[in-house]
Amino acid sequence: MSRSKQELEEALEACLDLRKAGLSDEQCLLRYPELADELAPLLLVAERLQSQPWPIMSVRGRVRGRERMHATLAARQSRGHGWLLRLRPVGIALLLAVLATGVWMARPGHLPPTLGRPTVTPTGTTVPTSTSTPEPSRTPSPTASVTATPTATASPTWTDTTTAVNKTPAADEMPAATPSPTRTPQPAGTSTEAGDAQADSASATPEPGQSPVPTRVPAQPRVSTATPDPVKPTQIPEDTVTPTRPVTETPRPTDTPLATSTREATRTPVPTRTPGPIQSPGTEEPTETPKPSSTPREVETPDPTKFVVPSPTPRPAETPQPAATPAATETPRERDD
Amino acid sequence: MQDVCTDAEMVALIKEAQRGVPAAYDRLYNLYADKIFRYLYTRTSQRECAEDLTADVFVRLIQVLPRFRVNAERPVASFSAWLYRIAGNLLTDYYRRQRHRQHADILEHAHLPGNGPTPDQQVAAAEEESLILQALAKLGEEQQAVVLYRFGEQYSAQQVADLMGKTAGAVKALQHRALTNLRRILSPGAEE
Repeated sequence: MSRSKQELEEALEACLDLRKAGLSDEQCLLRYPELADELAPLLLVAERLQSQPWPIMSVRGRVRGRERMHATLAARQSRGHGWLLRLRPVGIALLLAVLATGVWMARPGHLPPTLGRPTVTPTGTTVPTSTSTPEPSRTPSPTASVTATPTATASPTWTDTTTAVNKTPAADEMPAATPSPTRTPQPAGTSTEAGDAQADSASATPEPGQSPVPTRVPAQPRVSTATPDPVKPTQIPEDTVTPTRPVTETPRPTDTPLATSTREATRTPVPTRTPGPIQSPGTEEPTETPKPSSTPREVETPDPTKFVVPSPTPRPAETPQPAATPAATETPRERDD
Repeated sequence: MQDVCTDAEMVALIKEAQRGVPAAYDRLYNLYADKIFRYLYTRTSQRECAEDLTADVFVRLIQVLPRFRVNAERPVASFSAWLYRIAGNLLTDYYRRQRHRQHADILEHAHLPGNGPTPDQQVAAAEEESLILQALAKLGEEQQAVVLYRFGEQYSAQQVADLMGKTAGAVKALQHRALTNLRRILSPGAEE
């Protein structure tokens, strides 16, 4: 049955096509004599359907439908702009949020050390031998404060300072002060020492910048006189350290440049650490000691010439000496002199 | 007047319409308004209602056309099928709202084709139309669609298959069953 049914469907379709091509129903049925009885009534119904006029829309309905369509289209197109306008407040809010975030991120505390630092003028005199002494007075820079903390090493600070010196010797603060040339180079080691400090020191471009400094140093003896810093740290190291520090400075150790007198200055103390009290020459800072970098300097100090050739790296080599031993008293207070 | 559109023209037309060009919508309306109307009229048997629904279909078209993706192989068929589907969905919504299907007085709404027929011819044509619409209303949806597409729109079996998403064989089977049923409805005395 199914087979004959399928044949019937195919024959019906073929007859409809033939009729469309112009053949009559009889001619079609002759092609399927065995199915003619079944096909004939179906072809009649099909003819009736095909001949009958299928409904079309009334003119009025057609016009109405077209008008509705165009009205909708126009409304939709105008709404497109409204949509954008509606988004405007959201856009503005986003923009403000971005700006606020930017401002917040840019505030001083958040800036990377390098950026945020105020340049420290190197005026400070250096103490000759002294290695890092905790100088309270120094550095304004944020880093400085960091240094204060026990762990925090001065090293970072140093670097910065140095850099500062190089860059803006006269410009910023101390005029003549040429900076403590000597100090420059803080060995990489130093920086590394302090765990946290790393970041700081790293950022501080010190090394490269420093080299130049040395040169200057020799030429200019740092005049302690130049900077009569009001601020004095508590003690004065034995040496002359005349820090020319600008008064302002406060806290941290870092740099004191070399005192003129001594000249060797180079040495600048390794600022880093220890906040506190002044160390007597002999005293070493236990914690800090380990830093090779700092130590070396002291040793070196004696030679002025050396400074001239300051390369950051060298220090380590020099250092053979035990860390920080001789801790020179540090500077800060130089002013007393 | 059957407006004909090739595949290439249809692709261009749809793109223009998607850009919001009014002329493109006009052309689509000319191409499909009567077809959609007939489709709806055979289902609702109410002229006014079918015309309103036809307008609704084109309003809906404006809303959803931007998301329509043209089938590159069969642009016309795919678009036609998509448009009929929209009409079918709107019809379903309509029935949902109506709750029950009303078979209106077809004679009252029957369209009287022009071309200068005499009043008697017009009456006869209207009666015939109403008889056929009544008979169609008794068929299932798929059989109705096949009859409409094959005899109202003059589509081939393959085109109908494309529109309905079926095979040509399935369309032929539906066509056979629909004609058999119509014969029974239109000529009650006749038995196979």
